[in-house]
Amino acid sequence: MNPFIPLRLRILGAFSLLSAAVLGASLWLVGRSQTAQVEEGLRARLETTADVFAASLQRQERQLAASLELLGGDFAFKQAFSTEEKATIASAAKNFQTRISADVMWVTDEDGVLLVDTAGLLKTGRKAAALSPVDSALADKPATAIVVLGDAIIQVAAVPIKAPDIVGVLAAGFRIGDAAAGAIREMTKSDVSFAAAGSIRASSLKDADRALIAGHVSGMAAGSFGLMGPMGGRWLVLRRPVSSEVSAYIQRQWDAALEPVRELRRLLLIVGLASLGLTVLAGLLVAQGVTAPMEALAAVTRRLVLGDYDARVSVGRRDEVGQLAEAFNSMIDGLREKERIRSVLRKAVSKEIADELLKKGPIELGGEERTVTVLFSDIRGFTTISEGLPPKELVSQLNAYFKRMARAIEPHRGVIDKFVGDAIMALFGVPLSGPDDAAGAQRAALAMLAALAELNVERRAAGQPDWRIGVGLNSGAVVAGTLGSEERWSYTVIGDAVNLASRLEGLTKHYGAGVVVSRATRDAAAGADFLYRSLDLVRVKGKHEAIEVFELLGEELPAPAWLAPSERGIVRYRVGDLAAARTAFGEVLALKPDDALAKTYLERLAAQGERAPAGWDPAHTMDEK
Amino acid sequence: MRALLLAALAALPVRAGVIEAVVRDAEGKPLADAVVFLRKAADLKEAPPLPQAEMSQLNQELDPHLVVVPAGGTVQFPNKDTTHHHLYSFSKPKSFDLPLYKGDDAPSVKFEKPGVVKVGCNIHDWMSGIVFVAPTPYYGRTGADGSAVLTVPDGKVEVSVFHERLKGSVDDTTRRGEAGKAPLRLSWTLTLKKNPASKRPATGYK
Repeated sequence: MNPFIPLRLRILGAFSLLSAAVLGASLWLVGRSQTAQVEEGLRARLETTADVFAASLQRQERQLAASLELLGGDFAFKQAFSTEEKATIASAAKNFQTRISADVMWVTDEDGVLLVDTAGLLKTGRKAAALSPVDSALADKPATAIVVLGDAIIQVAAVPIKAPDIVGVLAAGFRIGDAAAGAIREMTKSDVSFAAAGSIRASSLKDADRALIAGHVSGMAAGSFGLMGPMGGRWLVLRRPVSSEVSAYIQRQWDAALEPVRELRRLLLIVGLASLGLTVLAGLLVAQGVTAPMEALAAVTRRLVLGDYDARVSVGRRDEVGQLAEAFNSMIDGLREKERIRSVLRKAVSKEIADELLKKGPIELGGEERTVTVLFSDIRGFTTISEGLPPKELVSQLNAYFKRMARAIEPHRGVIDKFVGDAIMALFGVPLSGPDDAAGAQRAALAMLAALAELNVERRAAGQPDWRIGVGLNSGAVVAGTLGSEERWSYTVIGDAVNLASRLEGLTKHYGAGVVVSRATRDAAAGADFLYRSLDLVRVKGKHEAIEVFELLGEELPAPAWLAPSERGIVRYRVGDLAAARTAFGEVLALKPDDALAKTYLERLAAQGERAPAGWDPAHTMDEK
Repeated sequence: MRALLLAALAALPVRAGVIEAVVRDAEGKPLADAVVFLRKAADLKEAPPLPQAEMSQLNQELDPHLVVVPAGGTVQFPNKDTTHHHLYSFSKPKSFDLPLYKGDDAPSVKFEKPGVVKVGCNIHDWMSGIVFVAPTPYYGRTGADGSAVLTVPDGKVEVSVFHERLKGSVDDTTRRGEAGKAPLRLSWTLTLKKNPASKRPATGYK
């Protein structure tokens, strides 16, 4: 089972999640694009600085080379050189150093052996291997290089001294130091450090920053960027190789450059959180707006289930929710109306018909042909009874009677169609038909007699006289349906079969029988073990055909002794053997002295002779209704 | 020069030896302009007379590029150009300075000590010449076929070869032999430095 999660929480959660997702995504996207932009800007500046630095280095190199070329061709210097006096050569070199503002000058002989070093960086008297341009100059190719001497990074240029063949080399060096780095910083606003062999030799940085970066420089690939330093004080660094030994590290402050981005992010976060708060608030309101009416609906529904049709939903709104509430209220009205109709209908008509009617939706007048068994009953001598009782008492006794009769009929799927005065009309086979309709009707008739017997016991106890009833049963085709006008109608059955049932009920008194059943009904319940007594062939008014009628004696009963002579008498009578009939009915009376049927037949026979006349019609024509 | 030598040969005394020298480079090709010379000579009485050598300046080059004189010989440096020249040398055997001059204004220079004297022009860096000062008057210069014939006093001799692009010391080329009626045949295979590219600037607008 899914756990119960309140709708309010779901809506709120959805709002919040959506809002948070949008906020997070926009923060991330803005932050990323801004950071990328800043980084791109920083990288571009570092590249520019590197280019500026490279260009200035080249220019300086050209200037240095050009200056040296002039100095190397100086005739006076050649003369001085030819003196082979180191002091003279050194002082001349020193003089040149001042002229071109170099940091150091060197002079070698034609074999590259160092004669003079004005700054005392290298040992004289041996080949100056560290000054790589010297060899090139000795091969008559002036050259420049950036070399590392001790802690110093020095840009070196060397030219041959020609007299006119190469007799030595004159070299000059410019130190690439803090001042050079500072000059680049002046131009480009980017810091520059120069490192060789993994350690920083010169920088425009302060000592503290220099120390921060010193540990990181060795790991960087040439031409690559790197972030160095502690969080919050990081530098973006570009490594640009200057020579095989020396690299320039061009630096700009990273975190400081990102500060505006961070500021923007903070601002966005504040705005975002505020909007998130608003969204949650709005979500709450919306959720409230949705769930409050739903809770109201649910509460009303629970009351409805308990049968409280007075419950009403009130949301006080005119939107879709208001419409829903209105529709719900209309539904309650409808339900209440239907329930009221159902309860009234159930009392007015039988429960089955009521349900049938309610089920069908709109009532349409009209009917369908059905085969039913119709039961009619009434109380004998009711006119006399009603005259002898005050109306209220009469109604009271009648209602007690109807109540019992209804209870006798309904268990057998009988539907009470109507009460007319003391009469009851009940139907078996509508609205639902079944194979046992006819048998059920007969059992209901027997049950009515039994119920009446019980009632009579009570009546006697109350000092009231016994009531006697007659029940007529007939089966046949009828039209069942709603009959009447649009405004007033009733569900009932009509047809000859109905009329005949009513007539049969009228015959009960005539034959002194409790229940009179037509041949059609008897045949329709052929499978049941009912005990019948043949009564007569009856030609009812307006019908040519005679109907064979029986008295229903009971179910699963042993036949009484008088039944056989009675049946024989009836057969004899019908075939016109009147003498035999007389004998038979006489036998019946001998066994059952007050038998009304036997008396009736003997009366009929008294008017006849021994034998039946020609055109003997054994049928009895009913004149009365 | 060859004419002079032949003239000298004609005046030779009876006691004369001949050295037939052949000089090749490392690839075996005949090497021209190598100087084959006797390192020592006890008797200089029979030496050929001192030649009047000349290295002129023509088209802003020193012409000829190589001049050989025996020690004590002099060289004239006539300027045949329209521009001034300022010839100098800081070489150890002979350092001299002939400040800007034109025509035959410069005095001749006497080379006392044997050795290589490199001559340049102070205002035209590319101009370069060599005065080879031989220790004895007995020397020869190879022609295009790489050979030179020397007439020397007979007896034991030490012969060396100089070439402008010789790699290593001249002393290492020294050969000893007996010069007599039969020609002393000597041959050298020299390892040379590369020929330096001329640094002369191109004429015209560049």
